[in-house]
Amino acid sequence: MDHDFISKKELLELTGISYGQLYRWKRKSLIPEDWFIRRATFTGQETFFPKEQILARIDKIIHMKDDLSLDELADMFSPNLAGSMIKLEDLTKQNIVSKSALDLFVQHFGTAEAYPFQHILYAYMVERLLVTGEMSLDEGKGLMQVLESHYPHFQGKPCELIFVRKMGISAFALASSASELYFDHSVKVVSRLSVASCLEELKAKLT
Amino acid sequence: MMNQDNRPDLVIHGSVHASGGVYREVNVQGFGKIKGDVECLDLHCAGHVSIDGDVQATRVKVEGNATVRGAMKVETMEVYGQIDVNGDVDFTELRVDGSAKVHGNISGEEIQLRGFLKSTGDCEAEVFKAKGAFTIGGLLNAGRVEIDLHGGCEAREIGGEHIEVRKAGNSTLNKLIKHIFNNTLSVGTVEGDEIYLEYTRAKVVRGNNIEIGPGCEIDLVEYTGEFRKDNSSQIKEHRMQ
Repeated sequence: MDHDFISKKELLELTGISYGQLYRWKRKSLIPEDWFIRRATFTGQETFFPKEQILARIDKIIHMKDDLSLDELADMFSPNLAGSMIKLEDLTKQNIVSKSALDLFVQHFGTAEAYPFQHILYAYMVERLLVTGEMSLDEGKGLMQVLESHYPHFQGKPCELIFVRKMGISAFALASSASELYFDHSVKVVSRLSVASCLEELKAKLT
Repeated sequence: MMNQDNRPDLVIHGSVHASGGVYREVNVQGFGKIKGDVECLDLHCAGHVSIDGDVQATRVKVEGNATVRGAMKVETMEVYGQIDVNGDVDFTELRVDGSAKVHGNISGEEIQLRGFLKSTGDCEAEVFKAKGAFTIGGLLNAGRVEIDLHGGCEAREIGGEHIEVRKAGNSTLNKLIKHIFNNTLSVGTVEGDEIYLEYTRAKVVRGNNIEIGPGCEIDLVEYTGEFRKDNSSQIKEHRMQ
């Protein structure tokens, strides 16, 4: 059991963060309460953490805290939506995704009672581009595919969706945030969408 | 939120049993029993009120005596009298000049304590300033912890960025009551980036820069940066990491 857990002291040594940071992140709910496990040791009570989970989380916080505020991070990690399943009827009822985007979505993912939050995010992004009239329904299919096969690689790190068109042919790209991209002059950048802000918008709409 | 203009007021003068609900202002001057959850802008109690449910309010001022069966969610709360809450308390600003007892967790932005505060659970805030006495059953976690010891203070654990514990000034009154009250802080573990302690009894103190002032009894000090200690303090063991 012991190698699945890491003591607070070891954790700080390994990650190089300070007590103050750890406590601040706990206060901001970036680290869930139930990961702090108190156990008796020969020196008295010590706090332990589930090793893999806490190391992954701290890595994420360190890499993302420059781009997002602590509160935004807390929101992202908040388990109430990100891990949850969302029913289709909730999406239509609250007018989050239009009928045409929804049809596309169902075509792609098949019919189910409820969908994981991440898939709903894809549908929402498709909807965003459809609504502005920048993207056709057919192109939406492509976008759905791009998101499904490539967005998971970012593992929650902030990224941007870039939609370009050259001589009527459209293409999608996902790039990590703040990267500079240059195209030849016959390429028209139709739209750039920050996934993180879409995520936030969607969360705000769902709650 | 309901339209705020047509919320009714609940005014209690004398002895009244009322039901919970959505109010603009709840004002208790006499003796009130409220059954059910209360949602209001202002809750003012100068008498005695017991609320059998949760409280959600923008401002709460307790000058008398209040008992809340459920949890509380408020923006600002001022306690000059006494409040007893059975659930968690969430707030932005909390000021306790009287006595506040919470049988759960306390969390918010800023706590100003001049009276007595007790929580059975954790206490979390960005700023925790105490010039009174407190008993915290769990972890006191704040960005900035400033404690002026005016009475017996206790916590299971204190963690934060900046932690400062000082003995209150040497006024005559303080010297007189010193013998009656035991003005020390007892705590299991203190962990933070910058720590200054006086008159503290602790098992373990860990941090970057640690200064131990007078009157402390500490079993173990672990530090990564600087360490200084006053000669009148007893430290069984200290080591750099």
